[in-house]
Amino acid sequence: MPIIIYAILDTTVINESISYFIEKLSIESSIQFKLLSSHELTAVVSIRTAEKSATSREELLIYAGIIDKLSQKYSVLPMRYGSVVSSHEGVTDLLEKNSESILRVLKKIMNKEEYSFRILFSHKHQDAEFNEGSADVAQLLPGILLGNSENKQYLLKKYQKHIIEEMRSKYIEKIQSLVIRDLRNITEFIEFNKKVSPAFVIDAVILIDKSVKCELLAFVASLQSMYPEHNVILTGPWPVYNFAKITLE
Amino acid sequence: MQDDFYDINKEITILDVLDRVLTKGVVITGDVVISVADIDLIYLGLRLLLSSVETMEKMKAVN
Repeated sequence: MPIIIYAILDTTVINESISYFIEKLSIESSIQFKLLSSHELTAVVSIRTAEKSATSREELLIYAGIIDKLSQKYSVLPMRYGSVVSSHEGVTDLLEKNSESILRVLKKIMNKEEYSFRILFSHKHQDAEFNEGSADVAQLLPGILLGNSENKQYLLKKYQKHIIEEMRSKYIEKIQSLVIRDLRNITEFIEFNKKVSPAFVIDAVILIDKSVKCELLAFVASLQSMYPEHNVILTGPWPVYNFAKITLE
Repeated sequence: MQDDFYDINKEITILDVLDRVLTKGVVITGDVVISVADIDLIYLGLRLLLSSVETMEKMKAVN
């Protein structure tokens, strides 16, 4: 039967209570979990049954929920959804072959947790700020763009759009550099997500030591009061998905 | 999620969960074919199979 892998842990740092925890998790979720160990590593797995084979949003959330519960208790490497291996031996082989790289990442994430950190433009602010900017643009226009012809009007609009975008980029860069400078005092692990929307000033994920959580919360609160025109959003703690980027063979 | 889950926007959080569990975390490479309910499910790179068994059954019936 195919085996679903949820997470990988360092065997040397887990204690006897994990068996009790896994048993409790099995009862709560109605999924029979097992621990498979090899080369100082333990994988939390379950058998993929025929009735559970359909993929749905609910299945994804259940999978994520299991990983979340595990990560609340232990430092785990979360597996991506769809991590299925054909047999128990396949799992232990996987752990054996990749033990060095897995242990290296486990060491990096030990006693740490991940947070999503975002600063967003509020629509009100965005419009006000850049419309004001666009008024300034009119005064800086190169002479070649002045005129009432259709072509000149077209070029003028393009130019204004470009200048506003430039102003926006500079503004984002300025905020980013100030925020990151302070964030670096809390953690060295900061990763930026590709911006999917112009609404983001910053879209990042950070990995912090559990002991500096209070500092992070205080930092976020101070940022929100410093930039009331933006929305500062912190979510977490998450399992360390963004800092467990390894490919197992 | 955890008691101290600082969630301001629930929709963002759900998207975050799905994004993480589908595109982040540890990945296993290699193709494997497993069979569930007599239907071969082909996992390309062992990644998410966006199809239900019902759909696969229909496809099998058509073929």
